[in-house]
Amino acid sequence: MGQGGTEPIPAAGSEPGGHGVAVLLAAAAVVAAFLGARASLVSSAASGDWQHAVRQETKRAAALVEDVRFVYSDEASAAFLVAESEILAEEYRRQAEALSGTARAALVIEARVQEALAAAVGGNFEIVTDPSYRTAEGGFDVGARLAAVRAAYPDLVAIDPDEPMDAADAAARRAVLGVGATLPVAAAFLFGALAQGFPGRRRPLLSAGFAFLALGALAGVLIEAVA
Amino acid sequence: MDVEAVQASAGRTPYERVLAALVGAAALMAALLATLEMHAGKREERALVMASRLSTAIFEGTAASGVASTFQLSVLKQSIEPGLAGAARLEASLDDPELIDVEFAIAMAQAAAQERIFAVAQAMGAPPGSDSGLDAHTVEVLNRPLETLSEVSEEQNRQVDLAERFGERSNRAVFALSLVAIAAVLLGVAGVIGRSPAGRVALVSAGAVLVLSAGWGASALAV
Repeated sequence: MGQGGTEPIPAAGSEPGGHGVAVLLAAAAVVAAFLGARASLVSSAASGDWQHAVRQETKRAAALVEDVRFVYSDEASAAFLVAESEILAEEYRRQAEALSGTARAALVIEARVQEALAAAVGGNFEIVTDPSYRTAEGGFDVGARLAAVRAAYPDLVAIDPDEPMDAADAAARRAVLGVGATLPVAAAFLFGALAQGFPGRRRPLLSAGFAFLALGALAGVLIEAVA
Repeated sequence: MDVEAVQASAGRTPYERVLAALVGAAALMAALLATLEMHAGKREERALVMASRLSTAIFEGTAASGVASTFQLSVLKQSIEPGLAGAARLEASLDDPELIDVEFAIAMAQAAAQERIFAVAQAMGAPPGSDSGLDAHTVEVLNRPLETLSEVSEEQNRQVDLAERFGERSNRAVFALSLVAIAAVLLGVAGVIGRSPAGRVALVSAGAVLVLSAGWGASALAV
C-alpha cells in the first residue's frame, strides 16, 4: 500500500492482457493521428480551392465589365453616331435628286456635312472600319464586336469559378468524413480503456476495440478511394 | 488521448474503473466534437465564399447591364432627334416662303432618316443573344433582368446568415473541445495521484467538465 492511502501504479503490462490494451490504445492513437492529419490536409486544400473560386469570380467579372464598358461606352456610341450621320446623308442626297438649283445645293451641303461628321467621329474604331460589323440596315453589330473583343483574351473568357468551387466542395466533404472516421477509432480507445478498468471482461472488450479500430481504418481508406 | 492515464488505471477498484471509463468517454467526446467543428467550420467557410461570390455577381450584373442599358436608352433618345428637328424646321420655315422648299426637303429627309435610325438604335441597343458568338456567361449577364439581381441579393444575405449560424456552432464546438482537453488533464492528474481524496476531486471534476462539454457541444447543434 502506498503512502496517503494511494494505490500503487502497477508496472506496464504486468497484468494478463495488459499488452493487448497497450497495443490497442497505441494503435488507436496512431490511426486517429493519421486520419486527423489527412483530414487537415484535405481541409486546407478545400479552403485553398474556395479562395481560388472567389479570385476567379472576381477576375471573370472584372474582365467582362471592362469589355462591355469598352465596346458600349467607347466604340458603340461612336458607331451609332456614324450610322446616324450616314443615314441622314443618304436621305439628304435622295431628296436632293428631286430638286434643282439652290435647294438641291443646300441638301447636298447637308449631306456632305453629315458625311464629314461620320468620317470624323468614326475615327479608328474597329467596329466602324471593319466591314464585317456592318449590318444591312446601316448599323453595326455590337454583339459581334463584343464577342471579338472578348475573344482577344480567351483565357479570361474560359474562367469558370464553379470548377474550383466543386473541387473544394468535394474536398470539404472528404475532410468532414475523414474526421468522422476517427469516431470508430475513438470507440476503440473507449473499449481499450474499459478493458483496462474491467479485467473480467477484457477479452470481449478488446475484441470490440480492435474491431472498431479496423472499422475506422477501413473507413479512412474508403474515404480516400471513393469520396 | 492519454494512453498513460489508461495504463495507470490497472485495477478493479471503482476509482480505476471510473477513471478508465472517463478516459474512454473523453476520447469519444473529442472525436465527436472534432467532427462537429470540422463540419460547422467548413459550412461557415463555404457560406462566406458564396456570399463573396454573389457580391461579385451583383457588381458584375449591375455594372455590365447598366452600361448596356445606358447605351440602349441613349441611342433610342438620339434616334428621335432628326424627326423632332424636322418638325421644328418645318414650323419655323412657314414664316419664310422663300426657304420653304429647301426646309421642307430637309425635313422630309430627316423624317425618313428617323425611321431608319430608330430601327438601327433598336438593333444596336438590344442585348446580344447566343447567335452573336458571345460566350454563354456574357450573354446571360447582359440578358439578365434587373429583377433577378434582387433575388441574388436575397441569396447573398441568406449565405451570410448561414455563415453566422455555422460560425456560432463552430465556436461552441471549439469551446466544448477545450473543455474535453481540460477534462483530459484532470484525468491525467487523477491517474497520477491515484485513489486519494485529491484524486477523487480530480476525477469528479473531470467528470463534471466532461458533462459540461457534452452539454455545450449539444447546444451547438441547437444553433
